[in-house]
Amino acid sequence: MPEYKYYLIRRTLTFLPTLIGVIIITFVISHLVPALPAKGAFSRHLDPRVLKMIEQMYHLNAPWYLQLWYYIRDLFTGNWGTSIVTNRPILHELSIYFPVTFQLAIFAEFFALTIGILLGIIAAVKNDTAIDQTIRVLSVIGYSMPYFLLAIALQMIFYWLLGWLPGFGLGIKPKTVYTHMYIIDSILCGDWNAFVSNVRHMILPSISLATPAAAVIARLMRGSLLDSLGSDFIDYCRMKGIPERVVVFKHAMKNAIIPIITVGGLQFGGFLGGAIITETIFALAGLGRYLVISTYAMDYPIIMAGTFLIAIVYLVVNFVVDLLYAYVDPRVRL
Amino acid sequence: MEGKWTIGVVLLIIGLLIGFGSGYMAAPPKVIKQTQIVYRNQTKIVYRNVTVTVPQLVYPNIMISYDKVIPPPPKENLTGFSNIGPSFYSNMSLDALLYAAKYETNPVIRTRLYNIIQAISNYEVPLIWLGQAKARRHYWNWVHLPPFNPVLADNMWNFITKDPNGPSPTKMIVLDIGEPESLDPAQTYETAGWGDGEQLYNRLMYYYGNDSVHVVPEAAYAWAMSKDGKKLYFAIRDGLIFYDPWDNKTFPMTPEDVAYSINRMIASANYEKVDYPEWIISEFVKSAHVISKDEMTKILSGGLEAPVLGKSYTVSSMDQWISLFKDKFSYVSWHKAKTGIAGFVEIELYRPYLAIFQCLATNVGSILSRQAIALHNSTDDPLGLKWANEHPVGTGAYYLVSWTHNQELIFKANPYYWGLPKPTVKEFDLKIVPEEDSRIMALQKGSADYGVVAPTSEEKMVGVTLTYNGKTWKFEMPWVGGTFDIVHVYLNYLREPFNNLYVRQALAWATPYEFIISKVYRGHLMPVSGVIPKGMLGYTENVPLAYWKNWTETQRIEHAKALLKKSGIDPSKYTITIYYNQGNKAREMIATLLQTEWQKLGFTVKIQTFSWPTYLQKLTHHDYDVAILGWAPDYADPDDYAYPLMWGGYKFEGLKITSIMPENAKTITVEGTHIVIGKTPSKLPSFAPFLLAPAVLPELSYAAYLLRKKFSKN
Repeated sequence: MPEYKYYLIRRTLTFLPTLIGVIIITFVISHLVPALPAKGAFSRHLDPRVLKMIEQMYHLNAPWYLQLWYYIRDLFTGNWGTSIVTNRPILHELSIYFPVTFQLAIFAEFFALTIGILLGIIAAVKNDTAIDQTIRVLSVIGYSMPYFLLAIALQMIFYWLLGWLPGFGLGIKPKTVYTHMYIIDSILCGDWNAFVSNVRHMILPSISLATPAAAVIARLMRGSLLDSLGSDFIDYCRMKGIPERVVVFKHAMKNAIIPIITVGGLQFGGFLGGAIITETIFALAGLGRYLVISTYAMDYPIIMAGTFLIAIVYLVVNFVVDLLYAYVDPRVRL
Repeated sequence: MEGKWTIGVVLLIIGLLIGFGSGYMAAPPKVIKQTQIVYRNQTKIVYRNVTVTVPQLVYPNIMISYDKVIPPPPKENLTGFSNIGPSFYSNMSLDALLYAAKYETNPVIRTRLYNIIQAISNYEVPLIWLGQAKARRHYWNWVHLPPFNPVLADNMWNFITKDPNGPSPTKMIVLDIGEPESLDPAQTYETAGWGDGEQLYNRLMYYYGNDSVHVVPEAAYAWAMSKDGKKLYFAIRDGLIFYDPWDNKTFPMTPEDVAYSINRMIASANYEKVDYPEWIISEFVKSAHVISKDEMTKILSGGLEAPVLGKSYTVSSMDQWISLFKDKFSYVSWHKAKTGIAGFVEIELYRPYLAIFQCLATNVGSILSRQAIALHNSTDDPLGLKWANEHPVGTGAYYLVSWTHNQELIFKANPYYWGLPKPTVKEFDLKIVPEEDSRIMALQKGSADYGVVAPTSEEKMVGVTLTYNGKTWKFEMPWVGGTFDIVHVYLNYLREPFNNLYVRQALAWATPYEFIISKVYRGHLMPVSGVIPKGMLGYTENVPLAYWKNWTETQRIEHAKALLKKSGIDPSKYTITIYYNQGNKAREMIATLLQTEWQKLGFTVKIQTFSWPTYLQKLTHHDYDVAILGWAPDYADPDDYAYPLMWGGYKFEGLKITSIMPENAKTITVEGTHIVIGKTPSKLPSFAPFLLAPAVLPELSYAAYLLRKKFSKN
């Protein structure tokens, strides 16, 4: 597949300018905020000497181009600095908060794809029936309902009213923490109580996060599958006497799934960066909520690092999606 | 009989001479009359088996002299909260009083000075004192909480018990809105960190029950102060054990740990750390070091003052000192637990400061283990700040098990805790749930035992019950008293018309306190008479103006209009702009109410909002007319209110309370007390050998009088 190799190189090269753009934008945005960063946590007893020390430490009094240089240098040498507010290393901070969001995003992606694809297929196969109409209405509701409303509704019904599932926080901490993704950690250390507790804690937030995405996927899947089912090659398959199940799942699906890969990939990136509301309502200490707290506290290093991380995640997810896309659809490689 | 008379007459003559001397030396201006006598400790004088009880008098007129006064910097260099108070109000007499009160070591005189300062703050209205926050607790009634104490950031958990029939009787789940910034006392400067610190550490002294004024011994068994007030001495309690769960080790607490903790706190200012609360000690304390028993005994023999429960006692032997503390604090549960003395610590102050005991009773005075820190420090970080940030090792009733940032903190009962009562609730889980509705839902469901409930959500918790173990439980929300947080309105003294006393008073009268309290704060505020909140030393309601009491709207506005007329200004010529910070709903509502009410006086009133950094920038650089802000104390002493909020920028050298009439004196009269303030006389009067402390002069005269009366009866 030489064309796939060229596509890979081409795609990798387009990755770099985007990366530079992200670095410059995160740097510029943080410096446009009209406030003295070292006075972020204002205190009437803040010693001017300390203020000066902080400013020197973070090069806050250096010209902007030098600050940008220090920023890029430190970014690529793994020296992401320390949080102004917590005084902890930023990479350490992100290693605690990001796994919570990542775990939530994986669960949400799983629910979004499973529910979305399944409903999309059913709607397409049962086209123009009552089932199709119901799925279409539900998907419109699911897509248009605000995140917070859905999250609160799920919390009220399944936690407050029925008491079936936990309504806030993470589950029991596993005996050993390796990755800060408690579900993975509990499997790794064989702590099944923690595993069950954490899976139960993850259900409501991930469904609330996944529902609008699932609605989009369901509609997209339906449309795409209907297009595919209306193609000439599908008629040809049917004429050959191939069973309808094989026609749908083997032949029509292969074409219909292509847009789902793109959208699903983008949505995963969105889950990683945009779970702020879900994390707040379900009291999950993830990256989104942490970035909001840091923004209030004007913790510039964290804001810059977090934004950079989310942008990188987006880029990587897009990159992977494109590669996958090109693999599934050979026309893309040309 | 004759002899007794002779002695009586001699004493009387001495008294008269001293009285004459003091009258000559410190003759107040003719306008001043003695209108009030304040009594302090009663002293028994025994002479030839005859005992008289002499109330020690405090001379009602206060004279303050200073060697040098340095006026505030020019207007362009003034910065609120830095070299002047935030309203930029400047009054040299008040500043002299603030200095005098700050450094006065006699508890009785100090209280009186703060009474006076409170009255001045009420009359001069440099800020409009809107009110003092009222505390309400939110918990299920299977939890039994100790009495409320406004000084404490949280309840002392070892005093909390749970009903055995309620859910999880030995475990508490508490919902909070945020996590501590650090658990190292040198790095945390906020409520959550201080609340957790209360459970993890012990301090030299602390608070007991609902008493927010007096400190009681904790890690220190006893304390005393040198006569000049510049050195403090502590007898350190024996038998306290540090539990280090991170290294699974224990270390006995020694006087070296106490001295180390204080010196570490002072030194921590020079390092990068999470926050900088160390000034609460370092501003007053020079250093701390351990002294031997022999040294302590020798120092005691010279006599030391022991300020205990608002009175001062002279102690001159070890037995006397220890016995005093044994007797006076016998009501403190933990004081009886360990009574041995491990050693002694001397703390040197830059200058006398009676509130240092309150400073040492804050989280900043927590005692850390020198040995535990030594296991984790480095040459770059000799104080172990990076490690101690999240790894507390203390002698408190609880220890930290785990901390998942912004998620939860888990504490367990310290098996080595020395004090009483021993914790019956063995585990505390603090869950961070910032979203109000989620927290309410969890509380309603009974998933948590107690938690933060915003005033706007309280109605959702009214009448909430649940059934558990066949019993119906109720969610409780009792009012428990005033906190030490106050809300006020700044009036920029550097701008017209706020430099006019009657305008400030008129605006204070026209403020709808009752409406603000009931509607804006939903009862979570109560009126306050001046700068010092109720429950704190120096608070008094004996103040000149009663604008803060309940009046009808007509009465308030009429009174305000009369004052405006007296001020001589034409309100229609002034536009007042009220500032508040974006997103603060309560302040937005207050601004709107003030706009409505003040417009009734004839002013044009506008409202403007700014983001927090811009707002602070404007406030500190006198770029405002009127602004709304709150204040929470760092330590429970009126100096932490009066000084930062009302200081006018004057600095004094050699300021003291005196018995010698100052030169070029200015007299102010506040609530029956005449305060004479002026420069220390350059030439002492010829009666110099008779100079005594100001409080002693009238006492001796009075003693002579009483003795004479007693003898005459015999």
